[in-house]
Amino acid sequence: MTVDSATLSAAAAPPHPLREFWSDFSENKGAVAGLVVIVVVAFVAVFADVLAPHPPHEQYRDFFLAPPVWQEGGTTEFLLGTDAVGRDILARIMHGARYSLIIGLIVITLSLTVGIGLGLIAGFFRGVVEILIMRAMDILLALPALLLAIVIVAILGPGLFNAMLAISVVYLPHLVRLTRAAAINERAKDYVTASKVSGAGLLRLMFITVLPNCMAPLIVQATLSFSSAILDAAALGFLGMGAQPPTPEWGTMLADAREFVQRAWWVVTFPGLAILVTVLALNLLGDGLRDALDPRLKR
Amino acid sequence: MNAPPLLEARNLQKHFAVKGAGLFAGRIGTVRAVEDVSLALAAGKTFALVGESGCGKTTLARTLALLHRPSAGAIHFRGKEITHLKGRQLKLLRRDIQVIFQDPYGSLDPRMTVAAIVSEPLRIHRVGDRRGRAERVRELMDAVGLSPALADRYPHEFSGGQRQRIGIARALALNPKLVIADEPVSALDVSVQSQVLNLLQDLQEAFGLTYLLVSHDLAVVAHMAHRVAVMYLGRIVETAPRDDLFARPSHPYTQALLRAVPRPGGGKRRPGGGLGGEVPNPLSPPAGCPFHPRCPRAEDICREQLPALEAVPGSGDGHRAACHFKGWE
Repeated sequence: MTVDSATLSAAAAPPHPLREFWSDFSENKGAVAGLVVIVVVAFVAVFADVLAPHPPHEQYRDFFLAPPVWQEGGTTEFLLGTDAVGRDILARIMHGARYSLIIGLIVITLSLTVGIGLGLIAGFFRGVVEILIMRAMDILLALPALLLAIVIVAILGPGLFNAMLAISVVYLPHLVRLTRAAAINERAKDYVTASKVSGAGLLRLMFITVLPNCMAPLIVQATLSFSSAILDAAALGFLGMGAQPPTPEWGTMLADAREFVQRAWWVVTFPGLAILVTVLALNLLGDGLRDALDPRLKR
Repeated sequence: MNAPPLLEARNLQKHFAVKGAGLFAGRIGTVRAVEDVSLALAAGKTFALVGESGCGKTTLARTLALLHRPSAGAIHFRGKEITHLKGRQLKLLRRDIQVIFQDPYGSLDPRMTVAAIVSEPLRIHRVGDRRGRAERVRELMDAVGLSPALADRYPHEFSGGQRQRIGIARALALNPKLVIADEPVSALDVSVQSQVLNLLQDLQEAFGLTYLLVSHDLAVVAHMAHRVAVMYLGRIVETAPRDDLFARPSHPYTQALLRAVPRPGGGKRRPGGGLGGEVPNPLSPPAGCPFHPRCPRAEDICREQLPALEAVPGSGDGHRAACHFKGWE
């Protein structure tokens, strides 16, 4: 026996799990590109006050609907042009990144926390509790996502925070189901029994033994939901049920610009592009995370 | 067998309800995984449970470890009834009864280091401080033949035999009295099997452990056990000290099992055929003796009357078999 423990300690130490994860992740070029974009967006969001060329609410009376700089009539003062009341679009998009990222973070934190809680409970207490939780989730799943969000906002009243609550509820069922499935799967394994034999209580089994082994699919789902959350928040904003004007939220900016689509293409195009690029980057990032975290997809 | 047994089970039963699919399905049957089993484990010895897969030996072992609640019967540990222990008292009992698992891959948490795995029982029971626990981990790894320098590695970096050693170290962390080893070597290479078995024997001597060894491998049982019980369809059909059982098997099932052991060298098989047929469906076990559909000696009485587990005439101390026609053929 001394022989094979000796050979093992002589062998080079295998890479740290984080390092291994990074080498798997960086193989996927799209995912790295997504990560770079998200880092840039996050940077812009954090330092919007410094980076933005103008305050987001300042109206420049002499420049209603000024076109972007490269078009005839554009000025270098407003690189992406101005909107109908003379606000700088670039500055508003930069500040809007803040809202979008915060919306994504809060929605994911809320639905992940509640979803993991409910999912673990359903996975550990089979029987009536499980049936109650899972059937409630089935009902939520039976309603179209945006419609459900609209109903909830209609009940709570429009506003950014209520919109975030509503979107969290919409994403709850997926996370509950994922957690429950993973928990049931893990719970049957011997290492959980071993913890139990050692005297571990229910809470320890749920959160220390089982939960860390369920996290990989949850992280992936959370990243992918992050982008949908931004989209849904923008949609609610566009419908006038999310962030209220003059908040420079991207969806709300689109809604404000609706009537000028024919005359000034830039007022809708740039906020739309911002949404598109951010969501695309998050999706690429999520795919890359899934490939790197899910051992079944490893080559 | 004069000293009081460390663990004693009386008329133990474990039944599982089989339910239909769907929300409002009712119970459609009962699997009698363990049926009327009584046994006594002598302190410091190895008691082996043998039988085919599906005979209920693992269920019995897990019931004795209080991982399943028995449906009926009683379990006594050091003279105290433990069948219905709960909460704090159950947790306290867990210190004395530990389990070694079959699958060395599934029984270690992939996200914990070896040190974390081995010290988990200590942390759960709040034994010692951080430094004391680290010291204990080194001690245990040393005892099971692993270099303590490997304490910060993750399970996937180890071979099957080494993982099983980690599992053994974890089982020993709390100084248990009884270790239940559920097929401890059947997932390992043959060359590693003997190393692990010898380790288990050394540890038994060093720490005065009592083993309940579950195995389907008669060679393992012959090597390790002091006393053997043969299970068939949830019941013990024969129990005897090891040498008695291997020299004078008196239940036809035990005899068939011993004949079925493959022998290297391609010599002649022992006289008498192996077992024909299949293990009956445990959802509807046959009436009378559960073994009668496959038994070469079966007669009318076997189809009607369940034989009791009784002393084998002319055989030594504590040799009992459940057969109407028991005896050395």
